[in-house]
Amino acid sequence: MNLDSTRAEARMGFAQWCSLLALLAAATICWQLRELLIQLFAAVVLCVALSGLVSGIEQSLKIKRWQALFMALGLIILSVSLLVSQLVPPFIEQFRELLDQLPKAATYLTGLSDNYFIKMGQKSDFNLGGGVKPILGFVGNIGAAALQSLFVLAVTVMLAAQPKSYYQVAVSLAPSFYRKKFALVLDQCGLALKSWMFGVLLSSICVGLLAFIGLSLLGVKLTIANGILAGLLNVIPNVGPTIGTIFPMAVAVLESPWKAAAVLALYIIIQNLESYVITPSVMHHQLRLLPGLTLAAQVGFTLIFGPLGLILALPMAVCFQVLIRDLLINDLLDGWKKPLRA
Amino acid sequence: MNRPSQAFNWPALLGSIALLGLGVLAWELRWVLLVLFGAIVMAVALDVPVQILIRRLRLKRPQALLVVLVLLCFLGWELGTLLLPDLLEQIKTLNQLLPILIQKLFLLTGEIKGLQDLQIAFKSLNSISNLQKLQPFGSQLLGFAGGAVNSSLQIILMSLLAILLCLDPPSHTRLIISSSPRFYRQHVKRLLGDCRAALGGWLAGMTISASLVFLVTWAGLAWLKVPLALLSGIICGALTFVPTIGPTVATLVPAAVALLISPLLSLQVIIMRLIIQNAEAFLITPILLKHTVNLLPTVALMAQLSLGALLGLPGVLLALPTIVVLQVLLEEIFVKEIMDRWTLKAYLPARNKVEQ
Repeated sequence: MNLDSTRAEARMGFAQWCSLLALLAAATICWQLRELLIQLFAAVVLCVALSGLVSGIEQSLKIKRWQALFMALGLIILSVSLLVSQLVPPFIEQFRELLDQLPKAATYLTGLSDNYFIKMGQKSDFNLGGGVKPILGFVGNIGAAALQSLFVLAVTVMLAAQPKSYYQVAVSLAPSFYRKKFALVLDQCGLALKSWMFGVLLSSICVGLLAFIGLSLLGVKLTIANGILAGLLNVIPNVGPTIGTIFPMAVAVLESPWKAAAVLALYIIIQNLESYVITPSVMHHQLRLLPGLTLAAQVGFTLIFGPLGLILALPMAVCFQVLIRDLLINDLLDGWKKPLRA
Repeated sequence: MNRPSQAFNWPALLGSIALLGLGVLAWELRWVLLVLFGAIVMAVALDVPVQILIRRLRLKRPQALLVVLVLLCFLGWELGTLLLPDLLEQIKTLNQLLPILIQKLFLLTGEIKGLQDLQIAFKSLNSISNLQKLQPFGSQLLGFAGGAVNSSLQIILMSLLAILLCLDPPSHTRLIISSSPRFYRQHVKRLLGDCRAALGGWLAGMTISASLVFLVTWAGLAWLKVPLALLSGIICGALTFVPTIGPTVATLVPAAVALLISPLLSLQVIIMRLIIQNAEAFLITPILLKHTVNLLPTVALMAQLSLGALLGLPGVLLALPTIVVLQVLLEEIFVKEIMDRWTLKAYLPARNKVEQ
């Protein structure tokens, strides 16, 4: 064994170790910046929605892209402000009423439970004060949340202004033999996100309408607020509808306990209707995630990314599904045969 | 690599452990590296006029550097004597105005009825939960004041380093080139040249656009008869070097001063600043940087936030030069050297062998 070959081998090994270290460093930095990355992902999701609207306008009116972008932005601002001006004043009023009534409901509940516990011969020290502090901390966090959403919106508009160049950058970061396939996978991710958002929009509208109709049939107050809340929270599966049930139940329990039970039954029916009738008929079958997988994704992404991870768990899971199916299973695992030894 | 490697590759492992140690050391000494990088940026900024002098007047480098430094000092002195008394007076008025401003803000929030709840909420917040949050902020502020001495020392260090670097760039470049593998040296030389060109182009473009912003803001504020127009103009111009975040922060100063006179004036100032800022970001800078640096807006914003999260305020200030250099390196090394050349040819024979 001569010296030269040893040196060459040492250099080769060193280069490999170097690339491993570089990969580790990149992973560490990404982990440190995960909150920023999740915001970037939120911007990408919003940008996919926006660009769907923009290309729709572009094709139907046959105008240039930037004109379409401006039109889309104007349209969104107009509709949002219209919605806000139409819905927010009654919503705020109803919400304030709701907040006023929540303590009453709580005292009612504690009264019930106190009675119960007295009957049992025990006194419960039910302390509501513990619940106030987290709410105050939540208010303090609203400033940070506003800044974050401003950042997300700015990045969304920037991405939507020139999506092609960002797409090219993303593709050029892949190895050259893989670029064609990678571009295809990116396209599919975009497509999956777009159709998922369309499905969620439809099912949210259905759920909101159903909740509104059901609550007004039951004669519970605050129908508009609760309907909108149910529609919005429908974006977050499992967790959202559960939270959405609390408010109308709290309102209903003031009138009579059986009404609360009726509201609970109504929400359970709507939820089942949504998951077994509306979503299957609206959502593309490839986008339907197994329920266990959805819950696992929600828990995992919440632990990693915080509250924003919970909201974005489903779009992320949709993207990961495409990536895992196309990159991992189709390209790596399917072609992996047992190596034959001579 | 074909022969069966009976012994573990110890030299490679030792080398990588040394590399890891170096990496950790660099992370621990990151503020030194930041100062060094700031010095390099300053040196490039000095080098642009120095090279022009060398080419035009056929001076030697030390003489040219001396001329540039003397010119800079002269310019600073002139500006100082011209503007300093005015500026000092304006800063003094600003200090006097600040308490009045806070009072006025409170009055304004009190006037709007719906916000009264908010004020009460804020007061209760202050008393209960935000006290814990504010305390670290207060100590941070104190630390900032204490760090002002430290940071001025760093700036002096940085300028000294920049002058030393600018005095003899070729030998420093040679040092970097000789510390790379031999087969790669030609390429490193080209890379360094590219980085320098990108950084110089970016600095030149941004200087022009910052001075334009300064002049326009000054003129506009003077036309609107806002007090402290010069100070606001200088702040707005200087913070143009930190895109997106800087101009937004800079707008607060003239807007706050204008609020003292009337809310309407403040609104006018904000609208004027918005127009200037957008014209700078979307018209002037892209045109000036068209041939040198092609930076996507989201990339710049993300770089600022990530470097701010990793390195703090100095990271935000130096984010744009860093990303300009990093983009050149990534494009040349990562994309063109690694990813563009990565084809399946090298792996195909091996795979065929396995399948046989």
